[in-house]
Amino acid sequence: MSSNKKYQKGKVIEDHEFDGIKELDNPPPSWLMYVFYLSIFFSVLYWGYYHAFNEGPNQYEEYEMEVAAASAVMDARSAQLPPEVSIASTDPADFEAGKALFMGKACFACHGMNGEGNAIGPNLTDDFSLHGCDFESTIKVIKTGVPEKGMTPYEGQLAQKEIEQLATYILSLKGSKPDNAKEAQGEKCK
Amino acid sequence: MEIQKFSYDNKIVRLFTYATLFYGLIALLVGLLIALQIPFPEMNFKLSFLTFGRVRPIHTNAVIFGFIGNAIFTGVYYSMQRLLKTRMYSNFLSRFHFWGWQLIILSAAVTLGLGLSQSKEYAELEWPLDIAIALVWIAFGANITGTMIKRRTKHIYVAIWFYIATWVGIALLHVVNSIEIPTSWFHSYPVYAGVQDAIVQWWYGHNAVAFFLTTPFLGLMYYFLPKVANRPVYSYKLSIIHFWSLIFLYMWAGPHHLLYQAIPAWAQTLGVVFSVMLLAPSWGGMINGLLTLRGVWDKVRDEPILKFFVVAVTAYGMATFEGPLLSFKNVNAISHFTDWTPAHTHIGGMGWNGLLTFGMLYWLVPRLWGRELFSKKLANTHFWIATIGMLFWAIPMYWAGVTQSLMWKEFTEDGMLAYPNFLETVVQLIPLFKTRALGGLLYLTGFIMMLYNLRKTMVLGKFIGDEQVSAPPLEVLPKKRIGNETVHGWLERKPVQFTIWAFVALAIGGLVEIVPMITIKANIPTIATVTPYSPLELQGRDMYVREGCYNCHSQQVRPFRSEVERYGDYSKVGEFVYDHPFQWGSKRTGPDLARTGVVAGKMYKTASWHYNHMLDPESTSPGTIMPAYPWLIDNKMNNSSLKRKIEVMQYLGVPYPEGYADQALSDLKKQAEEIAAEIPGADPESEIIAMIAYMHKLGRDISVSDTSDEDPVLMDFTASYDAQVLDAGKTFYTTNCAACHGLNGEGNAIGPNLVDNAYLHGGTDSHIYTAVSEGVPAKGMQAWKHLANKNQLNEVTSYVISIIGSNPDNAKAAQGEVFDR
Repeated sequence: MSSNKKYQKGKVIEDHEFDGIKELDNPPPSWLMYVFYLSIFFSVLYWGYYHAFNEGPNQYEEYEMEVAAASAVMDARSAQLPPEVSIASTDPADFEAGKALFMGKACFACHGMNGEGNAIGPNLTDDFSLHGCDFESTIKVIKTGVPEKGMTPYEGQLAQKEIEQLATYILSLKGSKPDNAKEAQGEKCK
Repeated sequence: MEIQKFSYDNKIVRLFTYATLFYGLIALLVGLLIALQIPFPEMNFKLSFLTFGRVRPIHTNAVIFGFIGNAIFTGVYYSMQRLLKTRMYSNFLSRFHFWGWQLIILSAAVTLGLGLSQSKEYAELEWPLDIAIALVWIAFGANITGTMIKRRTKHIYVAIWFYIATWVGIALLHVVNSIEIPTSWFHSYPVYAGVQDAIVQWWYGHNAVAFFLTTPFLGLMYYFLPKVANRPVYSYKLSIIHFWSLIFLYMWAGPHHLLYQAIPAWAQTLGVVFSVMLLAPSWGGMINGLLTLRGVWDKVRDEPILKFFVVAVTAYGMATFEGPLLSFKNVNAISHFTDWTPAHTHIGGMGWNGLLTFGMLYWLVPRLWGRELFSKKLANTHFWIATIGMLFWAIPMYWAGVTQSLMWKEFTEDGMLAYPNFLETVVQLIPLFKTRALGGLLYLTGFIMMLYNLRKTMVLGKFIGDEQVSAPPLEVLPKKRIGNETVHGWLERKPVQFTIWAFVALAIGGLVEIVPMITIKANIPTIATVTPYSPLELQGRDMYVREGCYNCHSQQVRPFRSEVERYGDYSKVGEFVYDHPFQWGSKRTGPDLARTGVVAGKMYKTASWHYNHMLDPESTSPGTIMPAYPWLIDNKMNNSSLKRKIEVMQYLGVPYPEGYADQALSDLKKQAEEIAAEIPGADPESEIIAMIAYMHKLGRDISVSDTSDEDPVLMDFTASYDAQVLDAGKTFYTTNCAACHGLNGEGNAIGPNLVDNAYLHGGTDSHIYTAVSEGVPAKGMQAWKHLANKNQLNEVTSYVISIIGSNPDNAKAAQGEVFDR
């Protein structure tokens, strides 16, 4: 075996036998010792960089840097985008996309499979609303939520386009009269 | 020279062998169950004692203390007698150790199933068992020390150094981490809180790996590997260097479990650098083992025992390479809280501990029963099936860990989380969870083959209980060094001094990290708005601890954009000061819960959502793998020790007012009524109410502004009666205020009635204006000065004042003090 050269055979240490086990007087492999010294050297540098000389950022500074970098990219991006449009879509594709979001985001968990409402959320299909009936108000509720009542804000989770699609679908449910509809809440729509 | 006749106690080795096999089977069966519960949550059977949060600690305790612990004692009791050429010091202590240990593990399985748990990872057991462990451990220590003193060999061999380090290390860790104050026979609070508890616990947790799973097994390796290979140990010098550097460095590395979490930066840095420095000392053990096999690699081909050893030692080398790697902060940022961690631990547990134990048993049983192994072929098959099982376990989990972490961190071009719903990132992993369970099944199959093989060997052989041997007595040695004896050579014949030096090497790391955390106040800056848990919230927290929620949910938002976006503000050092014990967790099978109480936060859910979710998780989160907790709804809250709990908390420094313990129960009932009123059909006495109260406390205190607990400065204001102003005010009111105070100011479940003559925050124009402008953040009322301009504030306040006394329908009951305007 070629490693025989690298790892010497070594002599048996006398006076050192335990239940038949003997030990050799080989030195530790030098590469392993170098790894050890290197790791100690690294540790000293690491400590120096972050603490003794305070060069490295701490985790909160790292966070600020990460957020600043992201918002710079976002700002540059939003400068190029056309302004937001807020009119209910009539495109059936948007309606289907909205329906998929209603299921995918589990809106039905609180508003029922057909928007009929349940013990948690209000009926979306009747002619009453707690937070306004028009497209704008619906968009607003989806975006900012009603956290104190448990409605999640979806602004960070859905793109503007998706929020519009979802609002389109929700408004289309008005007057659909599903089974088990929850009693009306809020103001009658004009 | 005189030759003394004596015997080795093989009966104690046999007892521990039986226990190893028994608990090994139990541990693997339980492991398979929990592996299946992840992709198939219905396998929790809606039974409290079979639910993942309670069963996973049973698995880890059965593996670590039942299977691996008994394997250690099997090997130690066998090898120590032979290495020191003497019988164990005391038959009584040996038996006391054996039966005491088995009783503890049995009690552990029962109590953890019942939910009697401190929910500190790998130190879950309640205080009576902690005391029992200490007693048994002392008996073990007395027994091995006595044995070393009456030995017939001049020196103690390297295996025994590692046994000594094991004993000292575990004694130190167990005692320091288990300081707790009982509130009843089966419940206690640890004296450490929050950050302190986290540091102490992971100093313990990390070093339980060091001194229960590493050092004793290195000791076993140093005995069994050269015995089986019949080769001399490669390097005595390497033994010395890697032994002392390993035990010294290990104790410092604990904080690497808390990287990017709410602990001081200096502690994290120590965790990083000491983990890096551990690489070479850890590898020293692997290298010394593998080089000992030099020249007999051909034997490995046909000796299954050596195969087990080689893969075990290699797995050790892999795990101890991965350890420092995972301790780099940038790697840890990806790996932590994901399945990468269990993958790493199972390479260690299944590979290093498991395979080494199997190899040892295949060698020992034939010797104890005086016959060769029943089937070498079957042992060979066991080796292959165990190795493949381990790979089927670990590879999918590495995959799962990286996949999920990348999904957590991914942003869309619009700057939003690509997978905002945590569940999406879990569902993705389900096929991998199933493959992992298959790996566990394979490993278990191999174990059953071994049971059969060893059983056959035992039945066909004849057990030798007291092995008769003879040896010359130990000559009397001088106290000082003899001639050219090295210092270490001298220390090797002084077991008591050796133990003391090992203790010194071990104690330093812990002292440097733990003492400043407790004594130096600057390490834990306080936050004024953080208040103690209300009695109901405290009860809820104790339920969270009882159910072992930490097994799947963390309470620690790291300062990453992706986590702040998903959960809310990152965790602060000062927000955990009343947490006995801390519950940061180490794995996110479900989402982080640190911000579930931040009203208007991303994680906030209403009381009725929590109620429905706990009763039937599918109803609110389709596709979820969260098990149902129907008993939280069926069980009535047990408040019998509430008074004592508050008193213990006060003793630990939680600032409840004096005499509060007597008032706690009535406060609890009041808060429970309020929460239950928000949930149709809920019983205010059921346990779920306390759990919801706790969910709504998490993170709430730091989300309110700093002045909320003091009355804001009164702002001068006189209401206007101008019709135009009132009209504008009404419009503002309808859009912004009606949700909580009713369309006509009548109040609702959330906000108070505004039009009666009772006031919570004062009834003058100025008081009302101040309440609108500054808000009452603690109760959810916004500070409108941030959201509206001065004119709007004037308008809406004037409008609200104008409708006082209007007597609307459905008016809410009066709250606060009556004031005549």
